[in-house]
Amino acid sequence: MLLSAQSATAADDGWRHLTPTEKERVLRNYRRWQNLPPQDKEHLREEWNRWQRLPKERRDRLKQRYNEQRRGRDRD
Amino acid sequence: MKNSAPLETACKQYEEDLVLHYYGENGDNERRRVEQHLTSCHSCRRFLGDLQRVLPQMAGAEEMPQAFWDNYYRETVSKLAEQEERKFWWRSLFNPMRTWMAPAFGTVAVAVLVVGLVIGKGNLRLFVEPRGESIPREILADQNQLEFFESMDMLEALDRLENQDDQKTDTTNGESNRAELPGVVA
Repeated sequence: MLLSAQSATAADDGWRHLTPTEKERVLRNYRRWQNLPPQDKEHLREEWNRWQRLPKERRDRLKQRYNEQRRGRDRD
Repeated sequence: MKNSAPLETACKQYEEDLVLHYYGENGDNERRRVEQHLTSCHSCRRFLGDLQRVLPQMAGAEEMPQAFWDNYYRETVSKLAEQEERKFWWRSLFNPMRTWMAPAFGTVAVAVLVVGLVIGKGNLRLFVEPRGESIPREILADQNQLEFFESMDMLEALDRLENQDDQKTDTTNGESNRAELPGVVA
């Protein structure tokens, strides 16, 4: 129970440190998640687990690449 | 009446000295001068005689009744209190409020302290934006969950990103391998 309260507090802190754009993205993804079929949810959970197992260096590189592509899309 | 008889008139310039002489409060020179004058001045002798007759009667204090001293005491105490009050007039401003001011000031001080601590720790938004009001609980269940929803669109593109990264790595490795071969210009 204590651990659960601690991670909820960490999530609160994390939420507070997000920019308005990031918060909007989180909420948008959450709404989208709710409407996904179960198999897609399962797939995303697996991808998430895989992502967490990737080496940090590769994760940083992939994240940077994704952010660059997103910025490019936003400009277009 | 003997007591009410007017004083004999003395020489003007000796009048004061004669009174001091009567009380024995003039200096030696003055005393000698006055005594010398008295030998030759009848009026001043009479004046001194009158002083010796009248002053002892005046010096006898009239016995005051107890009521007089009671009133005297009350008036003195009252005057001292008024004087004290005038000195600390500003205290009267607080007198009517004294009973409730201490707890009121205490409450305000505690409230200010709490607000200060909340703002100081950057938690004000917890109060302004209560948790769970606009943010679904599922998102803030834990940090992992928040990160998941933050990265969800990237996870959907994870395969593609990895392929692109692998291709780029291959290209970079290929170029560096060619550069290392003799006779090949990168």
